[in-house]
Amino acid sequence: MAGVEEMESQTDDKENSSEKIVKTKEKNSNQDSEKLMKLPLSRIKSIMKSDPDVTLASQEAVITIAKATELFIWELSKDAVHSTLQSKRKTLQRKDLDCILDTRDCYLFLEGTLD
Amino acid sequence: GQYVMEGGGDGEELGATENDDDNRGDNEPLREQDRFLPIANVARIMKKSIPKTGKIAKDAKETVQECVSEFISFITSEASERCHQEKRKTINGEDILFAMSTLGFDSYVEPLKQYLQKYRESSKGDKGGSGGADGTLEDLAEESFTQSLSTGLLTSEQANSQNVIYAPYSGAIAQNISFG
Repeated sequence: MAGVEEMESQTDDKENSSEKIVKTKEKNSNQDSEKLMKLPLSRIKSIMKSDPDVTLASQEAVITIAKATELFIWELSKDAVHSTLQSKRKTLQRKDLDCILDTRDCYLFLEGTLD
Repeated sequence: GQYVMEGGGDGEELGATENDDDNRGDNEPLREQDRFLPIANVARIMKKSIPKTGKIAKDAKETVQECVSEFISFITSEASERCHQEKRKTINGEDILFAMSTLGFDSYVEPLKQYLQKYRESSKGDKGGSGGADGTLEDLAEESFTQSLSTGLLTSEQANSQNVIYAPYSGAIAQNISFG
């Protein structure tokens, strides 16, 4: 499992370098948008349904959560990278996430997740 | 003496197939890999928020994966409660929006509303289809909605910013940020 994930991050790095060239030309790239919404709805639905109190969720609900999740990841990362920058590092690490968790009330629900 | 086990399962094991999300029994816990969103997808989104020269440690990606699942459960649970209170069985988009607002994710509501509206409009044309949630809808919603979100976030951050300017994440971020 670890081996596979190492490869993934390497692939991502490769994507990054080629993305540098492509993205400067395609600012409003549709590819960008399509890539972003690749959160699998079925997986999101599974997670929602793992709550025994949840009976049914409309397609709209799943899609709304999918988009909200994207926003959440984006915001979480953006906050965490502040900490990365302050430490003069280039790599966003787990401790950066730990650091920012008490900076917003809305992150309180995550207390205990990171232990 | 001998034990005779009377057909161990309740039929759940027999009936549930791995790909069959809808028939997944309530007591069946998700497999480890199904509890989280795929790490590659998560990482891809994370990358949009950090400078291009930045990297993300693997444990950071994993941590965000976990946080995300918590987030989904957290919002869903709240939305579900509201649903029950109103004696409805199906959680809809409005319930999600309400939950977000209640739980401190108020800044997401406007962009999500716009997104949802476009989704509804685009699915009106599709008879019986699930609507254009991917592809073209993204093009419509993406720009306006990231701008309104990032505007909101920028305002609250300016107090302690260090000359860091975050543009809407269509790719223009990196140029304004220096690490040194």
